[in-house]
Amino acid sequence: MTWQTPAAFWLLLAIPLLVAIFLYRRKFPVVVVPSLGPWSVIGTPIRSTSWRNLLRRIMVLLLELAIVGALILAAAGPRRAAGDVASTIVVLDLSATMLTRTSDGGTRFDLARQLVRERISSVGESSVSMIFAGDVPRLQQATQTGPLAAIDAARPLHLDSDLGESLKLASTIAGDREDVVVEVYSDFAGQRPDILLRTWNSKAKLSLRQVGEDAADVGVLHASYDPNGKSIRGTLAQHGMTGQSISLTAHTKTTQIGGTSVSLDDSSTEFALPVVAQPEENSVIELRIEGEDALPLNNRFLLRSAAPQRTVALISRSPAGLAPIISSAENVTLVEVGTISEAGDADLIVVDRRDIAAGAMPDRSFLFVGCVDPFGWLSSKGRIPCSAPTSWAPEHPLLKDIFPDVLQTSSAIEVSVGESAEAWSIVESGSVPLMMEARSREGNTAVYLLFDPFSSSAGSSLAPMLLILNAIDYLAPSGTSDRPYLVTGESAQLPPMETSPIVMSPEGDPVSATISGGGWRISQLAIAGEYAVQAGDRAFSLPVNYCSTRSASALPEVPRPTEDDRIDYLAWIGSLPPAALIAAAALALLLTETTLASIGRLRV
Amino acid sequence: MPFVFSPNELHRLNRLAFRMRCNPTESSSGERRIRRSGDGFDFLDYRAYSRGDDIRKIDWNLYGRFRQLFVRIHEAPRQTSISFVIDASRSMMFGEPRDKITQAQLISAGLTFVALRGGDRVYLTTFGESSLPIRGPFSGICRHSLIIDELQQITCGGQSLMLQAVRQLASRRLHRGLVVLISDFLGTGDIEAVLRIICGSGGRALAIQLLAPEDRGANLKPGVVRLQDSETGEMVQVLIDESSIAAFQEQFRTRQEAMKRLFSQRGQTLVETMVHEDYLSVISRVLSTGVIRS
Repeated sequence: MTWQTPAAFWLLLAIPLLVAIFLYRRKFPVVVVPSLGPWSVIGTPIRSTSWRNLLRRIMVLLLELAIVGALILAAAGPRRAAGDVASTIVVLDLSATMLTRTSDGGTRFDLARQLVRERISSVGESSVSMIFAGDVPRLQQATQTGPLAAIDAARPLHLDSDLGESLKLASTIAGDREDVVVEVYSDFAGQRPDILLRTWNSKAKLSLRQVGEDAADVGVLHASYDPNGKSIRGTLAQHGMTGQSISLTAHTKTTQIGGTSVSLDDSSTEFALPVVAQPEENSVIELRIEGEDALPLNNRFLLRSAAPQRTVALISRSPAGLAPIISSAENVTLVEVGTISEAGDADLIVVDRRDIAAGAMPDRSFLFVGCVDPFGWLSSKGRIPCSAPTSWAPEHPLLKDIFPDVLQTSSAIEVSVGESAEAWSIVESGSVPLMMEARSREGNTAVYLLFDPFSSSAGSSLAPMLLILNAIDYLAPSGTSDRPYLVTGESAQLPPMETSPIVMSPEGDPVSATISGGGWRISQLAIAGEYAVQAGDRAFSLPVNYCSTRSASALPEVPRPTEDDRIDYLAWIGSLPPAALIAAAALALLLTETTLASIGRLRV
Repeated sequence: MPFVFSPNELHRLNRLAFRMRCNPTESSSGERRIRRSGDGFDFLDYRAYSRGDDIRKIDWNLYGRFRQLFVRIHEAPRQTSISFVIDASRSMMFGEPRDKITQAQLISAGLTFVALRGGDRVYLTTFGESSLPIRGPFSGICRHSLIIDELQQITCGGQSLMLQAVRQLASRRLHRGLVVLISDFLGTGDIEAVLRIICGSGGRALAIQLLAPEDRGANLKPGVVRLQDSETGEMVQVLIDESSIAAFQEQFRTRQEAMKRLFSQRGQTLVETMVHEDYLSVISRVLSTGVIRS
């Protein structure tokens, strides 16, 4: 442990002063009266020499000293020395795919946990640092509760875990030491191991341990409902099931509306499922796969109207705030409202908010819907970190697969929009309890939907596209006539773009942009900077902070936890100016005194 | 302390007198009328002559009328001892505009003047940290200056030990006369025992209670305070607010009523006064109250 500001320890000289003040002050004014008389009945006798009083005073003094000591320690700025780094850094994947059953009946996470336990037992707890690769990498020091206890408490429920983030953290902690071993225990469902190995740039040794079997699986990669053709078209992704046939059926809440048999020939197989019965208005269509083997994951797919699965929709008035997110996706499509169904297989759909309702939202605001807090905004205590993009991997299960006993995916929930323009909440109809709320975060100019499936089973039953459509409905004023997206069975008829947009890179080079599905498909966002877009009579800029794809040579340079951030809270407190520290100390002492006085009042 | 009576005060004091009917405790002749024959001048009664009576007291006119011998009986006025027991504890140092001990000294000076002028014998004692031994007897108005000197030497301090002082009086048999107790009666201990000693031998007690605003819970600022007893040093922690003040006054009232009931049951007199009252008014009120009851 080293200290950034050792001079702060001079503040320790204030402790004797504090003790002197504590000893010589008077807690309450003493008033001499002729005789206590009735006061002895009303008041509480005080014995200044009682052990109880003495103990109480000493405890208060110790509490105040602890507060001041902690602040002085923080002001000194502790830093972990290089020698404090454990020799083994274990990265444990907490993605939900780790819940996949293996042939022995357990889950991949159980297997990984067992392997990690054995590894810790062999090298010793004191030399192991655990990194849990969840939505946000979390470092578990050996000096805390202990890695074994932390492993027992860990749950693989994260839908957006990113091993790349965790490896960045491990690389930062390991530094340039060559004797550190970084071991990754994962099923590598979201990240390919070869890419992780290629992007590893630390001198520490990286060891990837894949857990679980490479089981056969099949799932709907994306699908779209074509009401004119009375069919549902989409693509199936399979692994290890080449040559097999599966039965694919489409269901609404009440009835089966179609079915077909699909022969799996390649890793991705396109299908066309004829719809024999007209689905109800705004109903959710569920695709079910029935094959020869039990398929625990990815065997159901929900769609409404027509939309690809796991599409993240961002509706923006200003693309500036979306640029980091847009640039992280491999396949970005900007579309007009109502043509989401034509977005095809885009990973990310960006809809210009001006096309929805001009003036309905403040400038630079945008609405994010479609998945469970992938960017950690809900848990973020500061400004929205717009630079932590994550996209869903096809292997990620649906929520209903994780909680099959809780979620009833076939029950659609109708959401109505409040009448008032000031209404910032979406009120649900019927007897379904409120589970969604749109609100504004100050300083972030963002509106998003609170959607926590882990604490609300009702919210978990909403399909992503249902959220998207209702969100668009919310943004649109009630008097807007052009709301084709709400009409199931009819495709939106919007004027197509006359010409392809002209996109210029920050260096002035033209960037390829083509019309796709009523929007633009911009590719080659390889350079960070301000992109100029001229589309018809509209011109706007598209700032791109960085560009990265899964096949890039380096992981994105996004702000992520550093060593100093991970030491403890003291590092942050140490960055405060001295005046703030003194004010904090004074406030803490005042609070202690106030508490003491309150106790005295209560005792009276 | 100015113990010089003004002419007006002297005029008022000259018009006052102890009108009590208690047994004289002194053998010396005085001005206290008693139902006992003696050598006085005031005719009291007749009785039949018996052998050995002074033949000079035979009323020959009655003999001429009834042919029987009667002798005249005259009153024998005697002095009564009035003992002043003054509280000199620390609690007597409180009070505005004058403290309680000053008021006690003024009242004592006035009452002793009245007593000496009435021909009674006056004893003086205090109880407190530096208790005076029993001073006296003082007889004759010319001795009033000595009493004033004794009063001026009183210093306050310590605790109230009234019972001890009364026992000291009892040891000299002075408790059979009138015992004037001047105190605030706060923390003075067992008042009932004091009255038992005085009344048990036929004495009478006249209690003058001097109270200051502080005794009634005045001058306390709201908030949590620690109240310290001026005599014992004991402390209690109290939240001063309207409710606690009201509770205190209720308790105080209850105690006062209990003490008044105690004096009443014993047939004794308790006079409650405040320190800001004129001492002559207090003396007038004291002498016009239950002292005359027997």
